Formats: sequence, structure tokens, C-alpha cells
Amino acid sequence: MTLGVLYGATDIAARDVGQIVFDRLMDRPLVPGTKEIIIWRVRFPRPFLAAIVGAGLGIVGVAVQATVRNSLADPYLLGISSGASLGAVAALVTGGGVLAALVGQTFLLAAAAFIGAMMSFLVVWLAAGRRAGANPLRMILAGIAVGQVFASLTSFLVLQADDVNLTQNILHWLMGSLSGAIGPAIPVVGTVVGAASIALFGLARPLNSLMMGDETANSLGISPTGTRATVFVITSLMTGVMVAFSGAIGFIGLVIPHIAGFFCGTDHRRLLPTAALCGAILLSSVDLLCRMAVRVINQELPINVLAAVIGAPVLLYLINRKLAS
Amino acid sequence: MTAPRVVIENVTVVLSGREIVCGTDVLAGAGEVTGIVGPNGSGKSTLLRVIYRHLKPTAGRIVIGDDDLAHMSATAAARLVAAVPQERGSEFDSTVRDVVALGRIPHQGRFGGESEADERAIADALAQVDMSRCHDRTFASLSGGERQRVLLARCFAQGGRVLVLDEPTNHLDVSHQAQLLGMLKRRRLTTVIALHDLNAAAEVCDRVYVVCGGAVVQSGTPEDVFTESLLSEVFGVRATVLQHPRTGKPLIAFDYLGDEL
Repeated sequence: MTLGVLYGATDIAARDVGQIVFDRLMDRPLVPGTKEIIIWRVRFPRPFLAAIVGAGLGIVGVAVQATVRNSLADPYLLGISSGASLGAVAALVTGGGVLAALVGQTFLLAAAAFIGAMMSFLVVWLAAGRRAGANPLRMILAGIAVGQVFASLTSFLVLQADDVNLTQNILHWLMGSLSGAIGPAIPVVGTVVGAASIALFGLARPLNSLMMGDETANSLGISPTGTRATVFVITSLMTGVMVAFSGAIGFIGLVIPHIAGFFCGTDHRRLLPTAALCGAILLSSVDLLCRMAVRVINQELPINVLAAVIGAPVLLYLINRKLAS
Repeated sequence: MTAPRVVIENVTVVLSGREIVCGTDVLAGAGEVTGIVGPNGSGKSTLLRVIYRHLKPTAGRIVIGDDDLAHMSATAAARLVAAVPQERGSEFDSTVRDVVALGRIPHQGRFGGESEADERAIADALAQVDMSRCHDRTFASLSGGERQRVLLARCFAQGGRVLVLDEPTNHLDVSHQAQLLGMLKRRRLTTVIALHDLNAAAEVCDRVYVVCGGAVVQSGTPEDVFTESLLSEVFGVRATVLQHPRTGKPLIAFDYLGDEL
């Protein structure tokens, strides 16, 4: 696992030493003299984006699980990622309309994805979440239902697109891909994920109190409703931006909190940074494997394929353990 | 520092159109244990929730010491009033120490770490409930009695001089009930406690308020309150009130299978 990050990190530090390894992994002929450009523009951004998005997914997973008091929640399962995808695809297919004029092309996808994320979250919340924690499975089932509806709408929109290339690109991106690690991706995702993570870290203690229940939180002077609302706006923003630049990556946000919890317990002051680290390591490893798949199947593996192969058994294990206790 | 008294003045709570608590007055004396008893659904928990600010009263006010609770910040109130609500724990694998550390939240800033005072308060609280050696066990793995002691330790770590407890002895066996109530009694905090076990209430409370249908129907010392007529009226059971041979407190014997009233 650490290989993924080491690989990304050593990219520049030891670029000369590691050149041969990179060349082989890249599966791309290097034109002498463009090495540096390729390393900087192509090789370096992608593991970096993977690490940032992985960290963001881990943090979002932890925060969402605490606020709905349910260790089976993640933005993907709760339909938030599907909402973000729908928003982004709608913007791509329609060209953005008013929103594009409002926020400019650079932030169009992110803004549309954010709005979609908020929308789907509201629907799930109204359908099942108001009595948070009362029935964890109900919330997940509502999330899956909402996710399905949003995914269907997304498919419908994709089919409406006239441009075949656009359709192809959207489909690939929907399954999770970090190949969009160009242009504004790193600064935009990095800034949003960074700022949002700091904000969530400031909410670590309120999140701790929420785990015990709303009454406990109130008795400790923490407003559960206020905390929840803040966390959901922040996580929807993070999810929206991450989806806009890397597609809706599933399961990472679900699995990471459990892995991080295994290392450091449930205190969010430790859990949030640990989840960020674990998420960064896991997603860069997964992305590395997906890229290496080129050598076997002649095409990059979408991240969700691998994430689901790893994540689905973990989800089944967690549900089993939960029902058993 | 002495504990402040708590005065509940003419408090009404309306929840989704229903009046759960109507015009209730309770005076919890400084450093005393004040019991709230009454049948299921009589509004005991709702009344307590108003004191630990889970609910806002629709009308009326709560005065702690000389201050109106409604005019206090949430943090200031939390430094004064600690509570063990009925909600029991968490599905997350929090450790005992994590749960007790929650009590320090009203004393901590947003980003700062744990101060020495925090560490000391947590260690002291755990020692007081005799759970120090369990500090790194998960809360979920504890027995019912141990959990209650940990939740009480959280209140002690919180440092409030007013304690609100909602049926803390539920699901506890006799020895754990005695242990918990003894612990409360010795703290000399202003304690408001909802209890189902009337004999425990008679034993431990300085004053008892009997609530029925959201209103106080009787209040006073356990000796004054627990009479055969009140028990049949409020709880609908036939009971004989005896005197405890050693403590002298009322001892209530119920006819569980007796004639219908």
C-alpha cells in the first residue's frame, strides 16, 4: 500500500534514479528532453490527485458516519456521490447554462456537482434521516434508492448527448478516474479538500459528542442539529468537488473509517487525520494498480471496478458483524 | 464551592402539538437529591431534558443559582449542568476514556489539545467510579452497571455542580443500584433524578416530586409523599407503606396480583 504513496512522493525527489521504473510503468515512449515536462505535467499530478481525493474521501466518510451515527454510511452509499455525478453530467451535457455564466467554466463542474450532492442528500435526509441513528439500514436503503434514481437520470442524460466522444468520456469518468489530473484539478481539489478538512477537524469534538447521541451532545453544550448541518454542507462541497474531478469513487469512504478506527480508535481528533492518511495511501495504491492494468488488458481499469472488488466484501463483512451484535 | 439550587418555574413543554409538561414547578435544593417519580409517559424525561437543554421550554423558565438558564450560553450551561440521558451508548467502538473525555468538551477550545487539567479531571472521574483499570476497554464491551458508572464519570469530568439523571438504575441489579445511588448521595451535588424504583427513591431522595400527566400532583419528603392513597391514585396499584426497619424510610410493598382497584 505504501508503495503507492512512495511512488508518488519519490516521483520528483528521486526522479533521475527512478527514471527507468517510471518509463516502464508509464508504458509510453519518452521523447528525450520532454522528460521533465512529462514528469511534472503527467506523472506527478496524478498520484498527487489520488492522494488528495483519497484523503478527502476518508475524511468525508468519517464525518458522515459520525453525523448519521452509523458506521455503514458513506457518501457513495447514501447517494450523495450519485447526486454529485448527476449535477456534473447535467452541466456537461447542457453546457451549464446560467450556472456557467455565474461561476465560470473552471468551477462549473464543481459547482454543479455540489448542488447535485446537496439535493440528493436532502432527499435521503427527508426520506429516512430525520430520526438519525434510529435505523441505520433504513438510511442506507433510502440512499441506495435515491442513488439509483439519480444514476438513471444520469444515464438518460448521457444518452441524450449528441457527441459520441462526450458520451464515452462521461461514462469512463462516471466509473471513477483520476485521468482528469490536469489543469486546475490539483489546486481546486487541493484547496477545497484542505480547507474543508481543517474545518471538519475543528468539529472533531462536536463529532465525538454526536456519536453518543443528540441528548448527550446537547448536555455538553453542542448543538447536534447545527453540527450536522455544517458537516453536511462541508462534506457535500468536498464530495461535489471530488466527483467533478475524479468521478464518483465508491467504497473508499466506507472502508477507510474502519481501517483508521482500527489504528487509532474513535476520537475524531486522531481519527480524521488518520483517515486522511489511510485514504491517501489506499486510493493512490488503487490508482496505481488501475494504471498498471494497462499492461494486462490494454486499457486503464476504472477505479470503481477495483474499489468495488475490495469494498463490497468489506461492506458485507461489516453488515454481518453489525447484525450479529 | 457549594452546589447551586435549581428552580423550575411554571415550565410547559409542547411537542408536536401535545402538551407533555404543563405548568410544572420543581425546586431542587442545593446539594440535595430531588427525585422525579411517576408512571411511564408522565413527562419525567421531558422535564429533565429541559434542564440539560435538550429541549427548550415552551413557557416558563429554569433558574440555576441566580441565573436564568435561557440567558446562559450553551457552554456555560454545560459547565454547570451535567446529565446522563436515557440514550445508552453508541455503536462505535469508543473507549471508556474517550467517553469520559467527552465531559471536558465544555472546557476545551475548538482546535486545542487536552490540557493537564483535562487529563487530571478524566483520571479523577474514572477513579471515583472505580473504573480506572478499564480506561482502554471499549464502552460497548462493558456490562450495564459499568456503563452507567462510566457515564457518571463523564458527568464528574464535566465538573458541573448540577447533575441530571434519567433512570440511571434501569437494568442494574440490586448491588449495582446501591453502588450507584451511594455514589450520587456522597457527591453532595444538586441532583435531579428520575426513578422508577419507588423504594430506591424513598431511600436516596431528600425530596420527591410525583408527576402524572405532565403535572406535579404531589411533592415533599418521601415520608410525606409515599402514601397508600397516592400510590393507588397515581400508579393504580394497591400498596402497603411500611417503615424500613433500619433506615426508617418508607418501604413500599406492592400487591402485584391483588384485586383490581
